[in-house]
Amino acid sequence: MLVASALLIVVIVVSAAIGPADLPASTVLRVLLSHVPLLHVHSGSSAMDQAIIWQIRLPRVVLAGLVGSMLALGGASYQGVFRNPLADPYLLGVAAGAGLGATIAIVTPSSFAEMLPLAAFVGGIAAVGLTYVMGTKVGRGSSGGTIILAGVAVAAIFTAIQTNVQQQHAADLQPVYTWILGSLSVATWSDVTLILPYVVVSSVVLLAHRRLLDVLRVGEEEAKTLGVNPNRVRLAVVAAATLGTAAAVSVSGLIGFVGIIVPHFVRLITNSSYRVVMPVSLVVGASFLILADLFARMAEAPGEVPLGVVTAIIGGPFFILVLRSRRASQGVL
Amino acid sequence: MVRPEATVVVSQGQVDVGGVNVYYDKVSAVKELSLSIGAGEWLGIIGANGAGKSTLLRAIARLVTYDGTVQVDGRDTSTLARREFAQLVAYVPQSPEFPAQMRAIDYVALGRTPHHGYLGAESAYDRQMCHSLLERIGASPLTLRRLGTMSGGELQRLVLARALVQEAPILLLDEPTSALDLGRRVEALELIDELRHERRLTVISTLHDLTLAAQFADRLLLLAQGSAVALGTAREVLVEATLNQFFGTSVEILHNQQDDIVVVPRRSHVKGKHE
Repeated sequence: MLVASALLIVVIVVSAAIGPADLPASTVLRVLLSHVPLLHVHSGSSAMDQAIIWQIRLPRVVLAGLVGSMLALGGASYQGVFRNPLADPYLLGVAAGAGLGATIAIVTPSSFAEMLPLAAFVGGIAAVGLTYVMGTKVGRGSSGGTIILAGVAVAAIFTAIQTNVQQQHAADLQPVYTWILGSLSVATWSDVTLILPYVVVSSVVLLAHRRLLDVLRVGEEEAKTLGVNPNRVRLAVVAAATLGTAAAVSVSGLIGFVGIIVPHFVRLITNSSYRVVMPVSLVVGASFLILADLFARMAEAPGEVPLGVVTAIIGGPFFILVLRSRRASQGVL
Repeated sequence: MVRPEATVVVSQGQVDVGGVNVYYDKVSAVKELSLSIGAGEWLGIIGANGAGKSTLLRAIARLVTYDGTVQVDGRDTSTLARREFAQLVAYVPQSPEFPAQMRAIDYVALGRTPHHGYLGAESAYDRQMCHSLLERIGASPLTLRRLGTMSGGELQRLVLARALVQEAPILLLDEPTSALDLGRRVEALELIDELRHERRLTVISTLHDLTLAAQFADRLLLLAQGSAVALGTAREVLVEATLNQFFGTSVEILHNQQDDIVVVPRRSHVKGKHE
């Protein structure tokens, strides 16, 4: 945990230093410290440098960190609550719902750009809400299996509607695709403050459930005989993870793979207990997405590679390497 | 001078089953079952496949819905909160789930869950209890090993340890030895027997092996098609006529010099006479 946190700080400073205007890490560090209250450090750098760091790079880095940690923590939570190594934070339809919301916001002529995150957020929550109601009604709240199946159905329906809306507004195809592939290129501090409360509340609730996720690892029935109500845990965790994930994707678009790679990587390098996996995933997820975003803006500078493309392209092969390790062969959860 | 009143020792772990019926989709799996199991007693439930042994155990463990009542020390268990119930009754399923990546100590510590609040955490006391229990059952060397690397006998010890740190006076065991070889079977049952005497536990277990059931259980309950057909000591229940009738095979009952009861099944055809 200490190592992961130290790494995160280095990653933040380094990625704030790298960009079209080269700034030394020491300048970044001084600008950062000058904004820490009660410390009275003078950055001693030009107003221009300060603006680049504080107004352009840092919001983007912080936003990447928040989104990355939320997606990683959400992924670990979903894997725990559904005892499925393939579960990701989009499992129950957040992505499809947010995609539909965002598409509608983009193609509606009168809407403002500010509407997009809200529409994506509402769409994501609505999709998961529908999944949950369908899953528990159809399966009479029996087990996690029916909820996952309901998620597949809801995602298919939302994606179909989204595709249809998108086809009818072919002129807006470009912005819709850009959003779906994920990007943090226009990040501002207001995006950060917009999602921060959701991410904080969601993370606190999820981290509080980490021990109960360990109990669920022995299965629904044994969890019951240990005095735990699996349905209650599942409801609380799904609600919290959905809230946080929907907030994250509402500003970042659909960034895939983080929720699967990061928790599995953490499991293999540390201990498989959720008491460790949850907090470490939170920190490592932040580092991972900050680095991926750094790559996204530098690889084809001055152009940008979509962030979702980066996470899949560097994440995929890396993930396969991780899974080749000895421990992974014994079972991943 | 006032003499202090004699303290009443409340025995813990008396189980009363009253008129329990269990239905699976309207098919009756346990029928009108009533019996009392005294505190500190070991009841062995025997019977053919599908006789309702596991179902009865699962009803007592509140894992299936049932009609009728199950009381522990006079309290109706269906009125207890799940966590409260888990402090009274520990249950070990026939094939427990062993997450391959989990370490033994973390697995055993799950047994402390009913003693925490909903979001509570383990204390140093909990950890200490788990360590000393692992030591007691001779499993200390396993402490930091992952479950995926262990043998069936080792896992069996750990699941027992998990049930024991639950500190429940009643222990329900569904076929505790089905995955073990003969040596590990006897070892596991001996351990259960020692621990139940040390901790005054009530043990209710289903047992396939009738010879072992006779050696370890205080009383046997023979179930057939969900009903109790015999209840008593091994000597009373394990008689040839009864077993022939309810196991659908012909058996011979032998008594050795230590007065153990040995149940030997007979083959339906004599060797060499196959056509």
